[in-house]
Amino acid sequence: METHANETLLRWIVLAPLLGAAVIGLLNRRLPRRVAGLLACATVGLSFALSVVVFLRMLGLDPEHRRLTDILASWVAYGNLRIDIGFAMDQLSAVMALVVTGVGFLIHVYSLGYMAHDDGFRRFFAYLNLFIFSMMTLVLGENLVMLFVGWEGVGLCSYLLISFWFDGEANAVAGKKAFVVNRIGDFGFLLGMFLIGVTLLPHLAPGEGAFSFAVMQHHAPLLAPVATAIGLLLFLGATGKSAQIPLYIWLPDAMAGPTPVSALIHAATMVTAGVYMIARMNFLYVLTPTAMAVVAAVGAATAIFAGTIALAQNDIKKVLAYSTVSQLGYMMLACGVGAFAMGIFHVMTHAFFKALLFLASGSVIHAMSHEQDMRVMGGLRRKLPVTWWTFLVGTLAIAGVFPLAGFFSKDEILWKTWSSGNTVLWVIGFLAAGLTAFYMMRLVSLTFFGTNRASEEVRHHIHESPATMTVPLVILAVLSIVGGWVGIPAFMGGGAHFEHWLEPVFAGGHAAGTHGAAHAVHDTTMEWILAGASVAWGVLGLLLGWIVYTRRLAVAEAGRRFAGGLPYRILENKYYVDEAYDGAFIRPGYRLSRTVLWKGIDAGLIDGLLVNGSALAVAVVASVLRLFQNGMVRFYAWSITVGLTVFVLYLSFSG
Amino acid sequence: MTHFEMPLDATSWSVLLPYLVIGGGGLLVMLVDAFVRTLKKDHLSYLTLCVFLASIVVQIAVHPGEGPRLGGMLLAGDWSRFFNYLFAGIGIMTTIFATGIYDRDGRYRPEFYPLLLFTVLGMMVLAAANDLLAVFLGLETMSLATYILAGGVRGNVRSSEAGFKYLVLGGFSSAFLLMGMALLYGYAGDTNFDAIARVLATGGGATILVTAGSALMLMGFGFKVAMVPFHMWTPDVYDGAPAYVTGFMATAVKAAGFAILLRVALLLQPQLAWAWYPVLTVFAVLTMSLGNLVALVQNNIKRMLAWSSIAHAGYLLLGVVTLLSPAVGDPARQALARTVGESAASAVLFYLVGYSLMNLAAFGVVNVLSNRGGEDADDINRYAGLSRRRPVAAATLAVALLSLAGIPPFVGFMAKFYLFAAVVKAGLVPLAVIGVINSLVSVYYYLRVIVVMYMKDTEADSYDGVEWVSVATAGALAALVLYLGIRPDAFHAAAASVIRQLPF
Amino acid sequence: MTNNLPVGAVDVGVTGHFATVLVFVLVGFAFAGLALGVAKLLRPSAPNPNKLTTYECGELPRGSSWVRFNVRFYLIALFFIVFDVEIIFLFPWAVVFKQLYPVPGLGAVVFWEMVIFLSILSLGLAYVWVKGDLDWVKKLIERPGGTDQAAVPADEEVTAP
Repeated sequence: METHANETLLRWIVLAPLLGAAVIGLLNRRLPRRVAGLLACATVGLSFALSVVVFLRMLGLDPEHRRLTDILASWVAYGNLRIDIGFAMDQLSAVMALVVTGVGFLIHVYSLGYMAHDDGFRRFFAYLNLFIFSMMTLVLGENLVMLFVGWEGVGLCSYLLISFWFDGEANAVAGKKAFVVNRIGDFGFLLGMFLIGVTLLPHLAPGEGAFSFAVMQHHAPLLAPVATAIGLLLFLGATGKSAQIPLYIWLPDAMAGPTPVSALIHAATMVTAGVYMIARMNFLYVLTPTAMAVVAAVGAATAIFAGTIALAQNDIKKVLAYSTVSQLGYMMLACGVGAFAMGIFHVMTHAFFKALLFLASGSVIHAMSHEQDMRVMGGLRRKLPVTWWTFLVGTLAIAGVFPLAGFFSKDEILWKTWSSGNTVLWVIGFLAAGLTAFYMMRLVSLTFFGTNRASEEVRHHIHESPATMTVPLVILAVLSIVGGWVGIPAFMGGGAHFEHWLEPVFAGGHAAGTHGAAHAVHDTTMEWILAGASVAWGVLGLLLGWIVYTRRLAVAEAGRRFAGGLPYRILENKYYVDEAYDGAFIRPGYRLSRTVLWKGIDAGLIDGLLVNGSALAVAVVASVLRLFQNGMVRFYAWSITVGLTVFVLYLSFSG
Repeated sequence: MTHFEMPLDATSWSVLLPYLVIGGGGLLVMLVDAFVRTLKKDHLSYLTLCVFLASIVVQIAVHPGEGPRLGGMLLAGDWSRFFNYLFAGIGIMTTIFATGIYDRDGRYRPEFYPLLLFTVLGMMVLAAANDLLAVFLGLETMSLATYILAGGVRGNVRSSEAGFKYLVLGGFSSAFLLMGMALLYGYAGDTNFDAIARVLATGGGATILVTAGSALMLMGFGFKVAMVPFHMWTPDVYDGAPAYVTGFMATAVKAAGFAILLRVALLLQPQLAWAWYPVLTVFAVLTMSLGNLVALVQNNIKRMLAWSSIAHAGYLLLGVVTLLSPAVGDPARQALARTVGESAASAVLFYLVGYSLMNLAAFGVVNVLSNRGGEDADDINRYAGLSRRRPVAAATLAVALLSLAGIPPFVGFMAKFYLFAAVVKAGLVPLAVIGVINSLVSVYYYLRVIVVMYMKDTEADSYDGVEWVSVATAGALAALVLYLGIRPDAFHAAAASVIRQLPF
Repeated sequence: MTNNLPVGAVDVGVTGHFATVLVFVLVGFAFAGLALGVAKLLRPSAPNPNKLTTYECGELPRGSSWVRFNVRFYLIALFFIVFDVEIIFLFPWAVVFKQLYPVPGLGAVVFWEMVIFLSILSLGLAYVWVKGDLDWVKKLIERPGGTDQAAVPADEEVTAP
């Protein structure tokens, strides 16, 4: 193992937002609103600034030594199990840290305006800061257990923020759903972690942290026999957090939270935690082609599946939510074909443009007096110029139009898929890319083009958002344009800086060479052809979307009525997956709980026999014991003698 | 035949130093109390604190080395130092709590301070004893002073009753203990532990002397640590004694009892594990089960804590059982004796410290609320609404109780974790299961107090009244309970290193 | 303390000592039984109520014997016991002291050990004296911080045995 440089700034990157959360949360109403908001933004800003400082320090180091650690304390040391409370930043964490704190900071600033009139203003920022803290713990955690602490922390914050307006029942239900579905994933994550521990611990020297990433990577060959099981279990966790099939169902409902939350947690950062985790564990995944294949297949399936659902949604945030699920599918696909760097690249670009899209949609919703149904929008182009232009940039970026950010990352993912020989997956991804362009343009057309279909009163209130909201939009728009230029691939004459930057982290993966670059077909011509095709395909999708939903509404109507309206209804109802889960798991589970667990076991066995029965038994026993505890010294002395006699008799007869 | 060694060379003096400081300090405090006429009320407590601190400083400064000293009477080294620190720490806390209550109940008891110091002296000798005579000397010094402490509130019927019962039963058990020692001496021909170990190793002699003797000694120590069926004095005495004394008895006396129990168990293990192991297993299970069961129905918090202390003695006895288990197993098990023994003994030490911290915090709060005419605040129902009247005191008590219940992230959880892990490591899974079930049962009665404090409204007769030094001290203990619950490993490692001094 | 006999011999020796004790106990019982038995055989038996009363140094025993004795009697008894034990300690010490005194360095140690022991006891005596516990009727001690309430009220009746 290489030596790691120490960097005590890391702890402050993580702890600054916690400090903010603590101060705001504890003082709450004693803190003026303005101070609370500024404090929240300042702590996250500080985090970002420190991340940049550490990043710059990292740039000055040799690529092999770009792993900075900051161990605060030993947490558990039992036998040869050792877990540290510590943070580490390597190239991968650095990217994530910059994205999380950077985008997080912008969204904090945006929230100042968005939440300005909300009663829960301070609570909101306390939660939001707590989220950044948890996310940074996840990203900078030195070992898998710290990552899991952050993992659970962001889950908690997600729950709190989805149900932020907890007086609406739907919001509370959505929060609960997210929480429960994520628990299912966590179950897999935990099992995977246990399996790693059980496998590694017997072979480790005392003092080696079994869950430290460096140690795990060092001992990766030991994990090989169980790599598939671990990989699949951890991936189950990732499907929960990153909203993949079959556990994606919580994410669209999570849109019940305030829009900045949707942008920050459910688009830009938290949902990419699963991708990050898999990339982080790349040394494990490269050992197991089976798990990799599953990751890739699930990713591709999710990408197209969610894309089709997005076609028929009318709630502006729901469309973006399904689009997020679909894009997360791309990232998983990238990881699955061994292109971890591309997955992370897409995490970054997606963070820019999806945060932008969500914040812009928030601006629209803000303007429309909290209306989210696109059918009553339209024609907002002129009234919300900043929102319109930035939204357009985001749409072009997600559709993969050259040279915006989305093009580089998505195209690279598709190319790696193709070049690693997964033609079927490539086709699916390619189709999904077109779908993305189409439904995004549908969204834009319905929202910004045509005439406004809102009521007179709502229309009267439409106004552009304040600067605290528009400035972050513009910054994110710029990032959505230029953000991809750090990864211009080699065939276009770029330096592929992003990939090279991450290379040391994923070196083990490439060396193992079951997937990705080692097998890659180095065919520049093909690369050009595919890139051209995907741009053309994206533009085609955009055009179709624009034409159908602005000029030829009849075509849209025909599509809706196609085959008796059945396909549309299926899509609109999201393939009835929620209903299927309801029928297959929730209702039977409920019935089981009600009849067997509640009435049978709980009320009958536990309450009846165990609780009341044991209470009765305790009462009987206690009343008997009370006779012994009678306060008489003579009796006490007698009982001592009896006890002693029994002991001595036992000894004499058994000896 | 008689040979003399120089009993008091320089090393011996350095071994004796902490004992001399505490003992001489006790005499000093006594004299100051009797002869200094201009004494203000708190002065004796300051002096007592100084004596305790001096004993700690002396032990930090002077390291007399490891092993038996003073003609084999005392075991010098980390083991005794560990317990001396613990006793001094508990003594400091008890002094603070006692002084705090004297301010308000008008029952100034100056003889408390020298008695406390003498008790601690006895405990120190008991924990460091390497000779049966030293054991008895330490035990009796400790016990006699504790009897007076328990009955110290003169004119209070319950306290007098407690002192009287403790004295009579304690004398009763000491007689048995002494008989046991006599039998053991009859067997081995010597009172020194090392000499007894040598005789035991050869395995000759009349076994009935050593088995009967060890049974009587086990009873004597079992009495001190409140092991069922020698526990019956515990609730009455803990209930009757003033709260600060009860806190002291429940922690320091128990720690001293377990220190010597561990020593004697290790000493007799080669010959007697077969006898002690099954009996102690039964006693341990009985102790924790009975303790928890009866604690469930208590309405008096001191009685509840008394039964809970019996239950905790049961958990600790599991550690001793685990220690003995390899000796009765097959050869494969016996090969593990050292690892199993070390993990069990270090778990017991860790448990003792954690238990002392959380119990002192609990009794500290009970004590500080006891301001009405010398009656202790022992009615659980009258804790209603404490969280609103006295948030710090309520939070401290809540932390202490949660920790006693073994709920993370408090030290009680880690203590149980280490202990049960050691039990499981020794292959005694059923015992660990019984222990865990018992901890679950115990959650009920601990949480009940918290529910009353936090969820019931204040009533006219609810307790109140807080003296900030005591509350701050108890609060600091609670903070330590939390800290050791989060960062236990360094301390656990220290406990493990202490254990390495002992022979296995 | 330290026994220089070989390990095997210890057992026999100790058992032998106990055999002596046993013989002593048996002889004691036999002697008492013999004396009482012979007296029973020899003496005439003519009981009357005065003869059957308990002998209490000439006092007439009246009422139940389960009366409460004043706690002060116990205090005196305790002081007596303490100093009694002190004397018991002094005897063996005095015997050994003669042997140890000539040993260089050891004599002084042994001497001062006993001096320390006696001074501790004297300190205890001084303490109870100052505290007024040697007075038959204890005075209440006034303290700046409060009253020692434990003192026995002066007017309490002293129950004679």
